Amino acid sequence: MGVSIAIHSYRGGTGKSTTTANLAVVLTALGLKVVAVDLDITSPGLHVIFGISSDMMKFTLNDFLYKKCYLNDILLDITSHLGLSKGKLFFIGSSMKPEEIAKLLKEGYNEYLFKEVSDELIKSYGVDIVLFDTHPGLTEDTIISVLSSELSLLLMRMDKQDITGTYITAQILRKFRKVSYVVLNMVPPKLASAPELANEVSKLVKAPVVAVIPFYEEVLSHRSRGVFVLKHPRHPFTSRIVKLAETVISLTRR
Amino acid sequence: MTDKSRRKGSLREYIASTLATMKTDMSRIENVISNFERRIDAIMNKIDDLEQRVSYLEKLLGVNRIKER
Repeated sequence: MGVSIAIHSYRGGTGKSTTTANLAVVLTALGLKVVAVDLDITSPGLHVIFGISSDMMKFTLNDFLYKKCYLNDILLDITSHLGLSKGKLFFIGSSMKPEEIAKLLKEGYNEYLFKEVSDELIKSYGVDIVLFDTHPGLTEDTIISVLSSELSLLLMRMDKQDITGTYITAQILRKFRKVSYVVLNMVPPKLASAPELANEVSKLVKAPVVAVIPFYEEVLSHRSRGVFVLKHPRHPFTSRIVKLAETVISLTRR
Repeated sequence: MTDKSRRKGSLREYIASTLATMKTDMSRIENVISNFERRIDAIMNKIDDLEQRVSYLEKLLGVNRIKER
């Protein structure tokens, strides 16, 4: 039975889209059927990392939310596009057109639709993992996307603003009885090597830390031009993502 | 109020009402975070101290450490 996971953070720039894209690719390479959904409906960008142009996306999530198309129309199979030989990777993108973003923000949408989308993907399409790349923060729209998933991975940097925000976010998710895990991202390399770091953060936010990913200059220099793990399979960042993917698989099997 | 649905029993209504019941004590949170920051500083200091000791020993033994990522 499949699982939906929200990749979320309190603040922007924590690496949600980078993590979602790389994690999706590794989970697929491990033989799973994965869907990466760009739920950052006010500032979508996941398609850029996957190298998907606007003409490849005939319909977007926005069209689906307004019942202009079926789920099948927005489900883009990018397995061969990324050169993956194992598993299946699908992508659902959001519109980058300002007028369509404005319409969603003004008029809203059926807030249960995200949950329906993930349920449909799992039941009818036999998807193993649905990854929701969310918009950061604690607005209603963002909380809707987190509540639409079964698990959430909270990304945070070792930055005081992030730490405070993640503490509050974790508190809120507990209030909604959501299971969340923490991924420490872009951690100063020296601090990332400290074995007690994960435990300290877990104690603080009362959620288990499932990955500590150091800051790598090469990931920054990559500048979202493709999926990093595919271009740098031997890089330590890739090893960390593989480890995270294995942890995610074990969490979904609990 | 926007055009967004806020009908009774909706998910938006549930989120708004749940958040409204939270009695967040920001000064307590700031205190918790400051304590955490102090613990992280202590970890950083411990690492610095260990690195200095290792460098000293390396010099003493004439060993070149291969920097690991």
